[in-house]
Amino acid sequence: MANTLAELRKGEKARIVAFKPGGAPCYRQKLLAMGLVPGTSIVVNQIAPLGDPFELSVHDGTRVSVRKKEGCILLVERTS
Amino acid sequence: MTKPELLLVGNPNCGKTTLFNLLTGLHQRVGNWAGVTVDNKRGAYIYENDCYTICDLPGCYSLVSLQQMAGDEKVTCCTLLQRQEECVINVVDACNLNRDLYLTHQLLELKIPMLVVVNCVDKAFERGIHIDFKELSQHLGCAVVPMVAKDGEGLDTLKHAIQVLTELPKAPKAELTPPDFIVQYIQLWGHLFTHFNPSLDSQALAIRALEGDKQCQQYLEQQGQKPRFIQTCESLSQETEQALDVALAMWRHHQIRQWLGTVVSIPESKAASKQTRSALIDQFVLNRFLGIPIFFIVMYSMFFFAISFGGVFQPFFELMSQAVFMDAPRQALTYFNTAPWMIDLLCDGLGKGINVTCSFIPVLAGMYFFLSFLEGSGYLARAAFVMDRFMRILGLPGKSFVPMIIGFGCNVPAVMGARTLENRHERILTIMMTPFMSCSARLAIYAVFVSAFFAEMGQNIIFALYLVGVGIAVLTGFILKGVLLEGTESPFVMELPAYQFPPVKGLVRQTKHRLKMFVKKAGSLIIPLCMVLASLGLMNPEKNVSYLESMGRKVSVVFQPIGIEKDNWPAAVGLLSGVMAKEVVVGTLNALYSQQNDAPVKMPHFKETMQEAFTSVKERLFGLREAIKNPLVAHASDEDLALGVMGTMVERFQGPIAAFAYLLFVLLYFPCVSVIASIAKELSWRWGLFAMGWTTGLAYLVAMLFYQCATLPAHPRQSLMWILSGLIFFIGAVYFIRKTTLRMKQQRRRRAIPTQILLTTDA
Repeated sequence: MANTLAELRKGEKARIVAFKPGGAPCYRQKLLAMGLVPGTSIVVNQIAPLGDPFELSVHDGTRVSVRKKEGCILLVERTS
Repeated sequence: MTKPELLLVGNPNCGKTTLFNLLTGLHQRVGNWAGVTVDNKRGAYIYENDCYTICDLPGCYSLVSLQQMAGDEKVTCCTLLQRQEECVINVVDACNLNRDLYLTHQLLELKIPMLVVVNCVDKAFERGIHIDFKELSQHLGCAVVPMVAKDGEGLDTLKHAIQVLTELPKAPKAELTPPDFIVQYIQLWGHLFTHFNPSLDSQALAIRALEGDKQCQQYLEQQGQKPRFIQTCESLSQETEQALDVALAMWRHHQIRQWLGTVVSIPESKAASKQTRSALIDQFVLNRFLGIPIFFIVMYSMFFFAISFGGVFQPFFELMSQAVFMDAPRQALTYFNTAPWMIDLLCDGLGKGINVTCSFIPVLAGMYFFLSFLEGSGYLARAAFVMDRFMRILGLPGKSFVPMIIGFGCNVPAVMGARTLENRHERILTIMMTPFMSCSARLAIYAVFVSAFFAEMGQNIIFALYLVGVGIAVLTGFILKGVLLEGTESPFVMELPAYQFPPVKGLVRQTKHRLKMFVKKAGSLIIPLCMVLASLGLMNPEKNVSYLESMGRKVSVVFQPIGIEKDNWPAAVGLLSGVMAKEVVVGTLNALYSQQNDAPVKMPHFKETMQEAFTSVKERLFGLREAIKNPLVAHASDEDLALGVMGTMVERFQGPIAAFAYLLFVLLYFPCVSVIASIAKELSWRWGLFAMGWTTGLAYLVAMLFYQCATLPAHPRQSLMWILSGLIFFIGAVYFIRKTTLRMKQQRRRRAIPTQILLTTDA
């Protein structure tokens, strides 16, 4: 079952399934350029103390921080 | 022979600016931090008798130019789309090849003559990443230069490679097989772009139109192809069952993975070892419970370091420069019998201007050094990460919290510190909020009033004032947010760089560079402003009072609604003098209330001031221990009112209500000339003027509302009228600001493409 990124907890692994349509185009483009394309596996590395920005580890070690609300355009699937 | 210009292109934080500095010898600011290059900078170097010019473009992740893009990324996209002869140096981070090569891929598609610099190969080596550069060069079809830019390793190879590239610029020969679903499309649509820019590959431009590139789509619209294009997009996207931008990104990443499969090898065991140290520190720094306390501890240390430790030397700088630029010239000019007005203008104007600028140096140096350290070590990115949720309430990134904290010490470094924000709108918003952070100079004024009017609950009054300041800052944030940040809120895609210990030499160099910029830029404004104020302070020979004083007497009528009665004109004069610096308000009040204007003023003596300067350092150093407990109080000026004077003051003010209204006004009104000068230089004159008007207007409104509400029973009709007209005026002002900014924005939208690239630095 597909979840949005915001539903993941710290340390959980997941695979990106799809991009939801919409969202700011330049934000989509940034995520895409950073390698967050369908099929990529990610790990939630850190969650900020106030619970919002997530730090993700993309499969090859790139570390990216995204906000819950904006990261919602990513649909993911838990893998572990 | 003129060489084609070189464009430095790469992801944020991959070392472009370090490389630029290495090649040109210029000292641009470098941080362990994305978005350091906000404008593009140019420089030049000479290699084997040829002169090469380089342009350092802001970092970006993708070349597709889209709506709502941050200004600096747009610059990179537009510059490349308007390319003529230029060649590209693409910088990639060896540790992040799979991400950084995405941009390289896009450059290769455009067939721009280029070479690739693989930076930070030492770090990759430490992590056990092995890269086959020859193989990579074959895949990319262009030269690949491994480098360690921060140590200058590989510089000669690079210079040679650039020479070869510019001698005979050739398009890279990478084999990029477009995905099946667009093969037909690019054949049909590619030729439409042949006249867009002949020096770029037309098929690549057609692909970019599919991804939503604004300029390419606009071009199609001009040719009347828009409706047909939208249809094509829809059918293509149905065919791939994906959004087109996603499908194309997958194509590029797939290709990159294929390349890297034969280029990079990472032994499993070593891969994670280097990353773990940063991860281990992050376990504490970003911890759910410790994260915020640690943030505040770091902020406190910064505050202490800049305001208290830097403050140790502030009286020294102040007195020293006073001795040299004010007292010594005064003595000399008096000796030569120069006209008194001339002496006043030169010493209290020009000399005072230099003196004021100098007095900021120690505190600014402390703050710059600490900020550079935070930037370089990688903590500032964490601070932004930790505070992001909190600052989002105002639509600001977490980083903007840092300059605001500094504002409690002094607003000038706070305004300068806002540079760490990469988005201009966010910078404007942060800078507009900082003047309301009550600086330590204002504390001296509160202290005097509190001891005169609110003996029992002094602490509470002062605390309330600080809170009001923060509240008004937040209000300002909300009002300006609606106007400024509308639709431009920058989404947050940030990297947390690995921790490192920044080299002290670099920190010192950076601090020195930033200080020099401050003295040069802000100083050139502070001095003329001080001269204007000094000419106001001159004695009017007819009435035997200064112009400032007679002006204050007249102006005091205006302050009646906030509780300053006509016979309390010294309070109004005090406010006028506070425009120069909040430190002088108490002194002015002291002189005016004690009515000792005719008493002979002690002539400041060069030698005495010098001696004072040296003893001040010792005193302040001993006072440091106190400062740990309360950095604000220790820094506040120790000027005080004489006892008799305090009685006069209490008599003149209409009780504590009027006194508190006065303090509210002092808290919020015109930040000193130095702050305005800094704002004007950091943003623009318009914003400087706006800050003047906005702060003073709000100060008047708040003080008036408070005074009229508190004295409502005494004269209800009059008070209600004042309150009502104040509120109407406020709403009108907000409406006016909204209107004008929206109009300005529309005008700007019309010329979205920069027609020229500014030359900011010359070699």
